[in-house]
Amino acid sequence: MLSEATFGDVPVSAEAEIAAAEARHTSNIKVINQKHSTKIAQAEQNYQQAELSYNHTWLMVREREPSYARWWIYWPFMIALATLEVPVNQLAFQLYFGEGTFLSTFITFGIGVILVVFAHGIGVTMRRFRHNAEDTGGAVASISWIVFLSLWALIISYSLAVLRQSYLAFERAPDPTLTEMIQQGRQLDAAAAVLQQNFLRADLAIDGLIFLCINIAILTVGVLGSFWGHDPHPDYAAQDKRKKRAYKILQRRKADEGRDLAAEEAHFAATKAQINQRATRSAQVLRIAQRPSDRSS
Amino acid sequence: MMMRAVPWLIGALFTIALSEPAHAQRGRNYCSLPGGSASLMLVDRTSPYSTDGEDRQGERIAAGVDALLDGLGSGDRLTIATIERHRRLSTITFDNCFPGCDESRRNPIPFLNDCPRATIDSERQNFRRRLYRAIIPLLENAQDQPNSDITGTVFQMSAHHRFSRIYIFSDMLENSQVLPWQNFSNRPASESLSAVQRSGFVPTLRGAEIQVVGFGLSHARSRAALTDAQDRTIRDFWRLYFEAAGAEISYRTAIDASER
Repeated sequence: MLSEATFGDVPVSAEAEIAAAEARHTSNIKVINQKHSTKIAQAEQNYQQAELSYNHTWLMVREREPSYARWWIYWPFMIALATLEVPVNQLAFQLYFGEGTFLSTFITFGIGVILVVFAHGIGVTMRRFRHNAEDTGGAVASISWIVFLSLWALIISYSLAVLRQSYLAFERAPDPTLTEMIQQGRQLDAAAAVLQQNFLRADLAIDGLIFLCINIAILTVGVLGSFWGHDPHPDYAAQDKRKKRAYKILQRRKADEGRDLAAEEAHFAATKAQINQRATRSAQVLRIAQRPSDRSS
Repeated sequence: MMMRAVPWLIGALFTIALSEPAHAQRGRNYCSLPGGSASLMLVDRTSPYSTDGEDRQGERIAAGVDALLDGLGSGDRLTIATIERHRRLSTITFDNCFPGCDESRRNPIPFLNDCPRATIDSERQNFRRRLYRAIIPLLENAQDQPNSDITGTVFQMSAHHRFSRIYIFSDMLENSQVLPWQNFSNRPASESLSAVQRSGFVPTLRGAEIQVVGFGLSHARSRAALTDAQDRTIRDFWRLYFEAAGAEISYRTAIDASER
């Protein structure tokens, strides 16, 4: 039982103080609930919608879990492939743009990006072929797209191999002196023509073929990465991501409310403890003040 | 969305394919490279190389070109000109600097190399091609001309650039307005030099090295073989002439283009 204390000439009841604090606390709780309930309701609604569309697809794909690579794994992997093309294809551009120049690095990286984008396109279309084939003309469209992209990727790889081979042909070309050419009994006009020979040849020798194989191998890795990095259903991965994101937001909203409520509870408990402490101290002061009169009596 | 970029990427490829390749980039100025020397090769087109069809002087010129190519360093200038019956007819058939890199200014950052080896190899191939194209017509036998303006041509070419070496493929038999053959071959060398000096045709070739290939090889029917006295007079004249220019002359069977 709390005793009545005095502060100066104004007596204050501890019970009354606590009651006022409780009333404030109840009001604050209500405000917090109101503040968060709208956000939580919205988050719950979003999550339910996301889950609904996810479940719809889940049933469509025969209750299979989504399978796709995280973007922070997939795109760095593809960028690494495009970067890998730089030292390889710079060899092809030596004769044309020189080696190790900013221009050749820029161009070879650009071509690497182009090849990787093509690999991405081929892989994704192959992965979603069955789904796309369900639409009218979908199979033909998918096959056409795969053939189109593959053809371009091959044309680029082949051209790079031709360029690389032309550089090697240039480097290995016999380099007779003027005297040697004259001593070989060549006509002077023919001697001049020797130096004008074109090293660009469409038919690939072993050097060109090896180079072509390297580029096709990089392209194939890109296609496989793209194939396994995407879900066969075009919307499933996005729905899964949306559902997970909505769940996270919902959890965050609830956590926000819980944190505010806990803070209010802690504040109320602290206020209550402060009132009790003050009342106890006042009672002690009162007792000390009454002690001399006890001794005198 | 990514696939919408495909037409753009294909367009970018075409742009790359149509851009001018490095080995076709002409006119890059290698003459500004530091430390480059300058050589002049003069080919006399006023005297036939031989009378019996042996094109020996042509072979010497070809060997000279090969030796010059071997001796060229980055930024070295090579000028080839003809000696004709009059200096105004003498023409420069080749004037280029040997491609190379300025090693002192090489960018240490990888991928920012502005002087790639392959480009230089290709440019040197172009240089050689242009040089051969210029020299091949000069390997064929020349027509006998009534005059030969060697002093005028040397003077005119020395004004074009400051050459450290001059290779002259000639019989060195002057027959010009300033020095007619009779005067040139019979008068004392000092008198001929005075005539050239009066005409103002003594060039400034301070420190230059002159190498002559083909002296006394003329087989022109219009001229008799040189007597010992004529041989001595002519040699004396050219020694005095180039000394007056600040240069030193030597007679050779083949040029020496090695670095000093």
